[in-house]
Amino acid sequence: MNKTHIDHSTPKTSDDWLKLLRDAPCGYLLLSSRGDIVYANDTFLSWMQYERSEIEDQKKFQDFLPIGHRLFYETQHLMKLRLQGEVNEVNYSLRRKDGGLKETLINSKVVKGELDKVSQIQLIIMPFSERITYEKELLKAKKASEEAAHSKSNFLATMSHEIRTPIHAIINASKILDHFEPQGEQKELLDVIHSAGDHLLKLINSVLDLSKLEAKVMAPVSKSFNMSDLLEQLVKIYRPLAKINQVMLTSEIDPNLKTELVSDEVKINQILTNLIGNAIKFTKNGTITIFVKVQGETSDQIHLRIEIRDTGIGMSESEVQKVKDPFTQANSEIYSLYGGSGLGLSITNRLLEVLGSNLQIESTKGQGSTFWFELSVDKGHEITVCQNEHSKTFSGMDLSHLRILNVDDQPSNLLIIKHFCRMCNANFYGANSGEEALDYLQTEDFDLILMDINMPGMSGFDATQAIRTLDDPKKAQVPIIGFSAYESQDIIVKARQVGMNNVLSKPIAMSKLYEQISLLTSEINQVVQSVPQWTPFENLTDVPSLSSLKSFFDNDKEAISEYLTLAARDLDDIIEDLEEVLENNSIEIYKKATHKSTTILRFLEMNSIQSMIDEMKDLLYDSDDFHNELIKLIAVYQDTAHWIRHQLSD
Amino acid sequence: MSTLLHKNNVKITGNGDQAMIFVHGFGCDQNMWRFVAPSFENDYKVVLLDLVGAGGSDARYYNKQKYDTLTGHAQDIIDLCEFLNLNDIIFVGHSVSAMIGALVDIHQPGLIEKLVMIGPSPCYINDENYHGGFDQKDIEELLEAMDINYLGWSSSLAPVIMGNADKPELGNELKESFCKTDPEIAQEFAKVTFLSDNRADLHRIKADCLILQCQEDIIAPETVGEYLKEKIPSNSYTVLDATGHCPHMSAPEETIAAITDFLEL
Repeated sequence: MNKTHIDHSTPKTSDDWLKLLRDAPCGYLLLSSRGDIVYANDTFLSWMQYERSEIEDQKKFQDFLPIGHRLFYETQHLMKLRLQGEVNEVNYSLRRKDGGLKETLINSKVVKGELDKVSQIQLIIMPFSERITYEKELLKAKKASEEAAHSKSNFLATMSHEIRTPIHAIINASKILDHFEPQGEQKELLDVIHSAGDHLLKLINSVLDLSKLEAKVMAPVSKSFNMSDLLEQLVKIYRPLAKINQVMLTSEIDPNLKTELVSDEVKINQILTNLIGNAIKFTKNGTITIFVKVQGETSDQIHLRIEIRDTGIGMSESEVQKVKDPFTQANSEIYSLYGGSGLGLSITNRLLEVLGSNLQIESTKGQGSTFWFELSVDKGHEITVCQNEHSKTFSGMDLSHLRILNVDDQPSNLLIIKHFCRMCNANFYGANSGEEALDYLQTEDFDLILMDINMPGMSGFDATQAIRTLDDPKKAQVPIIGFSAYESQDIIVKARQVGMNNVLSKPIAMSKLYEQISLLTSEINQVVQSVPQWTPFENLTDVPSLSSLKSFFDNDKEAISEYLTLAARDLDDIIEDLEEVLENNSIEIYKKATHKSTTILRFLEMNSIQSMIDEMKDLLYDSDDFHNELIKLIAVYQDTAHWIRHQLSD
Repeated sequence: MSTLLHKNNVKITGNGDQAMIFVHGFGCDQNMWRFVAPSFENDYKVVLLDLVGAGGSDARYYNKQKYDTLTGHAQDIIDLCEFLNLNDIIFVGHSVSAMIGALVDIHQPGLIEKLVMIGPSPCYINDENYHGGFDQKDIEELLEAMDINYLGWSSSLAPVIMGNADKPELGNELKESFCKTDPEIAQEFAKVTFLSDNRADLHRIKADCLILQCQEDIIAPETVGEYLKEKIPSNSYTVLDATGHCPHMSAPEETIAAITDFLEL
């Protein structure tokens, strides 16, 4: 019986090797450094249906490529090949002699000659027809799912806004009904409406936050605040809730924290609220402690570690991994036992990302969890005396001397304000539109206008602008508070610009509204003169001075006031230009606009503003930072213009 | 480091007073100048940069609206020159960046003393009286090829999206990866590049220009080079022996010589 012969020999001569190369199960091309095909193996020739003489020294590799792929080869592939020495697994369609296309996957490598220069290029060509079909399908599916995720975020953002408005009406209506002394079951039902409404609102806010965060439209807004006040407030709010679970909620703040912090208080509050709320949910009969520790500090920055430590149910390692994902809870029992949307931690984590940090979790099942994060924040003022603010409650307030006009296209919102007015004896007037409000003002005088910003037809902004230009100064200067369902810096800037005294966001917190009314009414009592009082120049860090101007014009009052009139007008133009920059980020307009103000700022001795403008040049195009600074700068210009007009009126 | 220098990953070398700015085209980054730029370091202050979205630029500055036209990139270069206090510069632009150079000159006349255009084209799409070399569908085919090669099977062209600043151990592996681009930005830049039409701007170019035309360049064919020669007010037109679209990579000596001749004029 013959044994099977196994050939262990390697090819002996270069001819033997060449023969193997010729029939290799892949295409092989050798190119000159200029790209001409020097050698093509038989496999390649038979795939492409060409004779050797038609290709060698006759064609370049790119001649086989359809034009779009050729563009890809020249702009993407060749450059990298020259720099990297090899580029692999690139997909090309090659045009056969009969015009048909062959899908291929290509590996490429340069052959280096003298002085390390590219002398030749080798290509290996593999057929790829079947797989490319799958790959294209996969790619299509991937793109479709990304698009779907994006539309989901948009949809959530839009719907959340739409849903907030009616919820606001329900909550406030239930609060009002509370003042009619409901009896027995009525009271209980009202409580149900109220707490369910609150719960729903929180949920909607979470969804909205998450979609905003996913769309990456949330930028930090920094201002100075006192950390220990914030903690005290949070503990006060959450202690009753913790008590229900027999949990002791306390906070410990590092005594070395002696300054205020400059950071995004609202986001930090939201982060802590989420973490404390979570800890309370999962702790029974135990303790929750919030620690704020100073880890280190420099002359202008402080590094904090903030911990929320509980003795609750804890989590296993794999559960810790899962909880940061949106819509996911640690395990499926959590929902049935504790409820919730699974959004809290993922929102918290994204908020922390906005602040340049991230959430860390240490947890032991059955023993409790510690959620912590670190923050580097700028230092603010030193903390001196802790002051306790006594907010006014509306029950003690009598606003019977006030005539309040509420402008809102939604009757339910008008009703809410109407009832509040009734409770504090203010005289209520309602208008369904900006136009109607203006009609009202023809015949009536008001002490205060509460203006919805988003109305069909004439918006609250338009109406305010129209009111501010009325001939009768008493009507033109009536304090106006805007109501907005959207919270954004842009709206606040715009509101200031059209002449609103303040903006409150919906749902209107009644205590805030009363605070505002009391503030404005005390101002109303003071306001006798015709100077608009709603400009506290709060954005001016430099107090403008007229002394340079006086010496320049030799104390010629007429010349000075003429200059100031023109300067104020220039500033109006500059503000308008900069608002355009907010929209389109045009660097040219920014430069031109700020340049126009150079002389004015110099005359008014506002040097730090000029340095702010100069420093902003370094932030150009950093959309977030630049945007925030620009908003501040616009406010400075607005205040400067108002200051000038104030001087002129004196 | 200044924000602006970081934004465009600016690298400055060389001994001269006059600045020579090299700007890469579509598909690569400042690495493409490595065979050419060093030759000018003795006589010039050599400034290399990556357009926002390419190479080592900071992609966070990428803003679709701003870079929707070539002017956005031109504006970046004007800002950079202002920041570095550069005047009378020599601008060397490859491919689409030759047109970015033209826009810099138009928006800030006098900033550029001499403009070197390597494989320039003011418009890539054919129309009735103009042969740019491509039709709309060719560009779509390119985008599809980018799609499949950036996002699909192939890995070697796949860009390094993940930053490695916080993972120094990856540094060495990534060292040899050139011309990285975020795939979405690369697609946008491809559209902006190949759908741009700056033919109407050519007569407004004030700087002295050198047009370097290659043989067998499918992206900027000779008919386009001749069109530019006719339309740009002050230019020298040189046809190189080099073939393809990147003479500064495939034939650096010839390219250096042509640029040097022009600068010594």
